[in-house]
Amino acid sequence: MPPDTARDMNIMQTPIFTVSELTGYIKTLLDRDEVLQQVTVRGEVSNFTSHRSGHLYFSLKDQAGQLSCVCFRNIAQTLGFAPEEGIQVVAAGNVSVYERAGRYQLIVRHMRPDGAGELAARLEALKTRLEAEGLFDLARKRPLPRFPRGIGICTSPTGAAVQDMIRIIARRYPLARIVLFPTIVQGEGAAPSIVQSLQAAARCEGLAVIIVGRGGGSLEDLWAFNEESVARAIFASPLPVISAVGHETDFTISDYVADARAATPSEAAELVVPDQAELLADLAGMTGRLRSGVLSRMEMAQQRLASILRRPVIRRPRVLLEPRQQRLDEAASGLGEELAQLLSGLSNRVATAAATLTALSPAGVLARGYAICRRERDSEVVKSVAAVDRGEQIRVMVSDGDLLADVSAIQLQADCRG
Amino acid sequence: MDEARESIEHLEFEAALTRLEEIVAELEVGELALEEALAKFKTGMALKELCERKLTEAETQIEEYVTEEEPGQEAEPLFE
Repeated sequence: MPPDTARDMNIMQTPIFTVSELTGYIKTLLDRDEVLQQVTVRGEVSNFTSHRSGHLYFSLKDQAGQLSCVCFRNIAQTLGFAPEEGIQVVAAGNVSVYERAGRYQLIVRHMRPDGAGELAARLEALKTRLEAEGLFDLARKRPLPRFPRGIGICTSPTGAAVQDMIRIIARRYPLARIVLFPTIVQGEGAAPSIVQSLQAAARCEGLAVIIVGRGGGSLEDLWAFNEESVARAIFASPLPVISAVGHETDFTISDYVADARAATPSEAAELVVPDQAELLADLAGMTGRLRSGVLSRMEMAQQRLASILRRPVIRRPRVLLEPRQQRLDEAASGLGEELAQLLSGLSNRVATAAATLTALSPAGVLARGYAICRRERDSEVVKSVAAVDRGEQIRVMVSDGDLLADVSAIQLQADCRG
Repeated sequence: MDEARESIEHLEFEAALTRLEEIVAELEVGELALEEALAKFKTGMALKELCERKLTEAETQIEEYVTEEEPGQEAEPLFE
């Protein structure tokens, strides 16, 4: 027998499968393999097709090989980035067989752009575009309210982040009312959920500010906060928004758009409300400031009063009288002098008059040697020689007595004759 | 004074604190008439006590928003 025939015979002796049986067998083998059930692979996206159904079909290739991949819609929605032809990715999932095509393929459960460079480049592109549109403008950033009465928190209702924020806000500023908007912040549906929560918070009555964020995680975990839809929802918020995505060095797009950025949810909680302890300390200080304010005002009034009281007119009201008293005294003393002068003048005049009078009195005249001569017969004062006859008796009165005399001759004075 | 106390009692914390800060500033400038300064001092002290009282007596109110899309969902007292 030719060797060919022998071989044919050999083949014919093995069981004959149907195509689907064999494919099924291979599938079983692959599905049973532990490595293939949870595998991560790096490669470049090629033959990329985004199907109407939402499923993504593509290959991952490198220099020497190619791997068919499928990413079903539910996963595709949570990727946080849009895969496209030619980019490097890291995909994780399980390898199985697509029986209809007789092809093994990676069923992608998770995928991210490969390498910081790739991710950063995509982020940078979005950032540049939004920045050019004015979404990051500092001029439009709103100030946070100093004493927010209502605070909306858009984050996962479970997990440490929300508990931290509530605890810190309640401790710092118990006057606040917190409204939690339960939000998916990671994985499937995160971006739409964040958008929805932001919109609900904007409609909620009594809120003054919104915190949107989540605790720390890998770059992929935080990816929703780099989504354009989230950025636009933050931009559109009528209330100031604090972005609080837990990460240390990198900024997310949300951080750039938000009115304020906190590196962690805890930091956002500290940023959003004032500290009660500081407020109480300030209030305690107010007492002192009020007191010293009013005291200095009172002191001012007292000083004014004191300076008024120090004025001489108040201290010694007599000074008001003194100048008048003096004037009066002066006036009075002037009056005395004048009067004295007047009096002394008068008395001088009186004295002179008296002297004159004395001099003129008959006695005074007599004393100076004059004499009064009277006729004895009728006591007539003899004023002329003609009044007496020769031999007639006359009485001559001198200062100290009378002389009785007889007229022996009469002589007429020559002057008188003239 | 009682009148002042009554008129501030209804103030919210922020309004009371703002008023208090204004009064302190006015007193510190020192241009008020003495009677007015004394009246403002009293109002200021009342405001300060009101603010302290509001702060120390307050208790944070925490609610969980129930989405319109899920009317069946009850607000849970998760955070007490």
